[in-house]
Amino acid sequence: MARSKTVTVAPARKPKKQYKLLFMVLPFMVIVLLFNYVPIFGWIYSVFDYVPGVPILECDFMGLDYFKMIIKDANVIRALKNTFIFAGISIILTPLPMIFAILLNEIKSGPVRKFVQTFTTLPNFISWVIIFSLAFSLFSTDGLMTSVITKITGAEQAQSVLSSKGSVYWFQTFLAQWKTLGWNSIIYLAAIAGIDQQQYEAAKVDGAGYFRCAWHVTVPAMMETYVVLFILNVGNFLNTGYEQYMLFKNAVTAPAIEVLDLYVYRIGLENMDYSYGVAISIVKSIVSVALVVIANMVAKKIRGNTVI
Amino acid sequence: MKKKNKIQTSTSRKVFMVCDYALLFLITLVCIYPFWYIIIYTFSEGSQVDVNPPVFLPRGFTLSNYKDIFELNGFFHAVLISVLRTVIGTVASVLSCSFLGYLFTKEEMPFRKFLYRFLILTMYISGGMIASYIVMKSYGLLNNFWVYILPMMISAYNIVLIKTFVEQLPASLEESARLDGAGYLTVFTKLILPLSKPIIATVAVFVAVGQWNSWFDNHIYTRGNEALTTLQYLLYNYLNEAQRLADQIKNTTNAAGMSQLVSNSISPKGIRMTITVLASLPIFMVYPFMQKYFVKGIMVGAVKG
Amino acid sequence: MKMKKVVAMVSALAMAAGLCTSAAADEAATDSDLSEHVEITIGGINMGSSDTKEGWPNEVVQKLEDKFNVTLSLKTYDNESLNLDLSGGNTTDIVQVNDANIEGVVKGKHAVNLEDYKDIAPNIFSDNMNFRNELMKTYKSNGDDVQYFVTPRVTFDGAEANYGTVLNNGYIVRWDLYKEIGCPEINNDDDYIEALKKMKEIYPETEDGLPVYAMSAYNDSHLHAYFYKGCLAEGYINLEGGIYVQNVTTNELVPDLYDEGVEGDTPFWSGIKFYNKLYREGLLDPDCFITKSEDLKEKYNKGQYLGGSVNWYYGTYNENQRTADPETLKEYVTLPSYLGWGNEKNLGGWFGKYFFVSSHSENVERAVMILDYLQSEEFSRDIDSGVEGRWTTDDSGKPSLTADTVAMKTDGSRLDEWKASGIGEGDLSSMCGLDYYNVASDGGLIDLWYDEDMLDDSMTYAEKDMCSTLGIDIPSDTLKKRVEAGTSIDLGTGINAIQMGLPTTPKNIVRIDSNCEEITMSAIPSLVQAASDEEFEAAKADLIAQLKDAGAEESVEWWSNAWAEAKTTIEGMTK
Repeated sequence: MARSKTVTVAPARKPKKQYKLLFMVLPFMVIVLLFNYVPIFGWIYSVFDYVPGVPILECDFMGLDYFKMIIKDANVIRALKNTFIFAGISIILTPLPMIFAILLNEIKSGPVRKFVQTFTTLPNFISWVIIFSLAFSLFSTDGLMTSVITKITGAEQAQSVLSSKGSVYWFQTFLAQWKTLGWNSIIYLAAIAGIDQQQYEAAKVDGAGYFRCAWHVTVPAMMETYVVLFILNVGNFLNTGYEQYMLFKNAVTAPAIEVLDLYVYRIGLENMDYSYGVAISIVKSIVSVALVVIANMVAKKIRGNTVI
Repeated sequence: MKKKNKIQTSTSRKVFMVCDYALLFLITLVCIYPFWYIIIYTFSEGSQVDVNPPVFLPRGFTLSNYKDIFELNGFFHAVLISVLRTVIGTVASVLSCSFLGYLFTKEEMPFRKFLYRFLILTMYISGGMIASYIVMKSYGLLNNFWVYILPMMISAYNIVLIKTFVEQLPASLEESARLDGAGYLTVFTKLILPLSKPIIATVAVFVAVGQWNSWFDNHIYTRGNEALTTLQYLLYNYLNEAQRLADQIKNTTNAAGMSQLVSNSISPKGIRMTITVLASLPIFMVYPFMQKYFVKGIMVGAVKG
Repeated sequence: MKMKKVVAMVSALAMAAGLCTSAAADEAATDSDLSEHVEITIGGINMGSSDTKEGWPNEVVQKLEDKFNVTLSLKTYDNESLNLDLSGGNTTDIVQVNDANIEGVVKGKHAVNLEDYKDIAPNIFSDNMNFRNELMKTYKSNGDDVQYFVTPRVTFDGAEANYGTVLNNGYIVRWDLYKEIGCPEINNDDDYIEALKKMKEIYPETEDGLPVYAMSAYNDSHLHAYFYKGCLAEGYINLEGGIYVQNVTTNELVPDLYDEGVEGDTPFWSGIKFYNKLYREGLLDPDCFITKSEDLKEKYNKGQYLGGSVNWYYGTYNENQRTADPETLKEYVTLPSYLGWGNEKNLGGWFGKYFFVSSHSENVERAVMILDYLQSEEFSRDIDSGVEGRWTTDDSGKPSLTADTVAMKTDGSRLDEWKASGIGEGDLSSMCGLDYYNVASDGGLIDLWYDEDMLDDSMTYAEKDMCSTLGIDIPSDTLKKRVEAGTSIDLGTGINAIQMGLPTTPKNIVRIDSNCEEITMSAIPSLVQAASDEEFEAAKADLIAQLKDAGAEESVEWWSNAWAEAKTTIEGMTK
């Protein structure tokens, strides 16, 4: 699809710039400027020792001290390691919602599809607090799932996955996937719905079966969405959120579960270390943007056009 | 996928379909049961659930969890505000995002790349809560209904989704419309919008759910005006009250104060479960309705004719 | 717009009502103008919101509203929203903050100087409050040496605390089981573990076949479960976070986690050893490291625990058992540990709760008058014992609760009425000026529920059984007897005001302490699950080394110096 588009538009004529379009976009850009860019002045808090309530200029000037502190902070390094693992796993698993959408698309019965489609989004609405308490009743030492696992593995003593350091990564990944799979697949279902039906017909005329239709028509149509989302997600590499990890953090899992976002939350709220928190989030923003730029360049190398 | 070069037999298709159904059934079950558990929990008698959690049906039957919430001060007003912000917020956001998504596909737009990147950048930077608060205050948006709508109206993420979708539409359609003399606005309303129903429905669901369930903006920008309390914030406060009572005991180091606080009547857990049910309402109300835009693929021929 | 009209009408009505009463009722504020009806909001960290309170405005609040011609509401602040309101300069009229906010409030000039309003604040500046006021001026003014803040629940001279009817903390046992094993005397942790062992032998699983454990820990309060257990066993009170503790007898500060050079076990290490023993005896819940408060409560409800050290979680179990059988012996009761958490002398009021009047308030004077009224004897009595009428004075002028009030408290069908009476309402109760045990000007206690005559009125069947079995009048006599015998102590000798004399902790120390807390948290499993003494010592040495690397010594140095200074000054002030 992407290819056919470039053929029709690009090389033949350079489109004349339409300033009309600029005027249509600008009002919206002003809103973006007002609500997304003006607040960036808050970054200034990172060079002061900000005490909430005190006018910023009366706070002690710290220069780049907080930024230097980040480099020396052993917690940041450990949190980064955990973030890399969690984010790495979730990046590897990004095709899951797409696969789920394809499988769902193969189901031709309308009501069944609707049912599955609606009800698999439900976990997305269950807050992490509740997920924790559900997980506790299932996976605590005398929980139902723990006895099942104990039987399967043949372990002598029941061991709860909640208090096992070794299981942190896969267990948390499992929960996160469970929560988001159905919800994240919505976008791919939309992409599938956007496929021109003529393409399927054309493929069928060529003698393609169901699988070849899926492979040659459905997958390429979704790839564009997938690649775009993938690149955006790469930028969110460090933004894992903190809620899940905060709730499942306990004395045993703590060293493996504290991600950067959780650490920032902790220093901001518990230590009231507002300025340091801002400094970390600035660095995070810079890293995010750098990652997106790199991903975009790689995409250009591979596909010939940039995504963003 | 490995089989792609073999000729498809109906048996392999059947095997695949059986596996597909089985897998989806399993996933659906794993998704439904916890939710079912939450629902029956909210209908169970509070005194019984802790001792004996429900399995398939509620333990006892009571509506008290819901009754307590319906009886909260200003419940119906809060529902009204929530519905208003959801409806207005969704319409405003979907319209502007889809319009922008379309415009950004136009290569003839001056500074297109720059503006698009300017937009994307907003996904990764933020000035922090205090700065946002001061900014909203200076715009006069504190304790103002529009603070629910304007800051969330233009979402880079949704625009990217829409743009990607529009780019996939056959370019020939728009070209022929343009040759017929249609302007950008006409093309957008007459051609792009109808053809983009699946993605617009998706974005609408995203925005609506986000609006319905957000309470944080209420918490920081409109705390001062009770008339703007949304349902989720009302529930958040209610839950907090229960939670706070539970925590307060621990934060009290004073002996006499401690004994005063021991008995707390409402359990945060029951409230939390009930809130979950209320939070997922829009998905039940809106999503099945939206799904009709997902099921049918577009018929380019039909649009042309 | 409609809202405004409604508000205007309501306030007009209320004003009319207010005019009738206020003129007659008020003496304190004679020269201030109360004719305009205003809204006053009190916001506070961890304070509940009046929107979600049942029965609001209750009798106590109504009395206040009439008296000052105001509408009073309460608002919740969390750190986030408080910071925002401070940054934006639009806090509520009266605000309650904790130590961490003081610097921002004072430096940002958000609080009015209460001394400027001495004329309309007779209660705040009453002689009994002198020590508290001196503390506020010296330590909570960021060096300005004026008074911005007041604390609640100040203990006056001559207040004599009793231990209430039941104890709140100590060695908790299931009464039926403890009775069955013959009520062995419990003098220390080892005795307690022996008793728990015996109880488990006769009750290895619940009626529903669930496994039974001695106890578990609440892990959503950082290290509290561990050091608090130790505080009770060793005679300490904790500073927030429990990284430092104060010896109740000597009032010395002791580093709790990093115990290099400290003789004997600090509370944390005492608590950890106790948990380790439980573990080795197979008595500890294997989910000890993952249970949070809610999970604990559920497990208590199912009867899966035999003991514990705090009374926060078993209330529902006791209630359920009583509902099923009013004459049940299956109830958790608390036996005294070395330190009995009672007879506390809050000479400077409760710490961690500082009220100020916002300089952004549109009605500063009225807000000061309200804050002053909150500090009064009248309001304190109202909130603890109900408005006059809920209690009456006999011929000799001695006040006591009416029989109806007493009956109302325990009658579930009168719950609404109870809530509307406002008696003991949690948030108001932690903002009034006088301690429960202060003797009011009419000779009765502020909190009449603590009157000696009242204490044995509210016992359950199991508690009565406990008293007759142990030969005492009320359950808390177990502690009284031990204190008299010198085997237990109470909080009476501790000067908790020293904690108020500490300067704001510098940020680098906060960071070190927070790291130490995290490091310790992660080390707990290996300590508690140590199979032998050698293993325990090795795990401890490992943790101590980690704490040292994290800067524990720098923190200890800062705290020791700050404490020594505060202690000298404040001990001087109390003399």
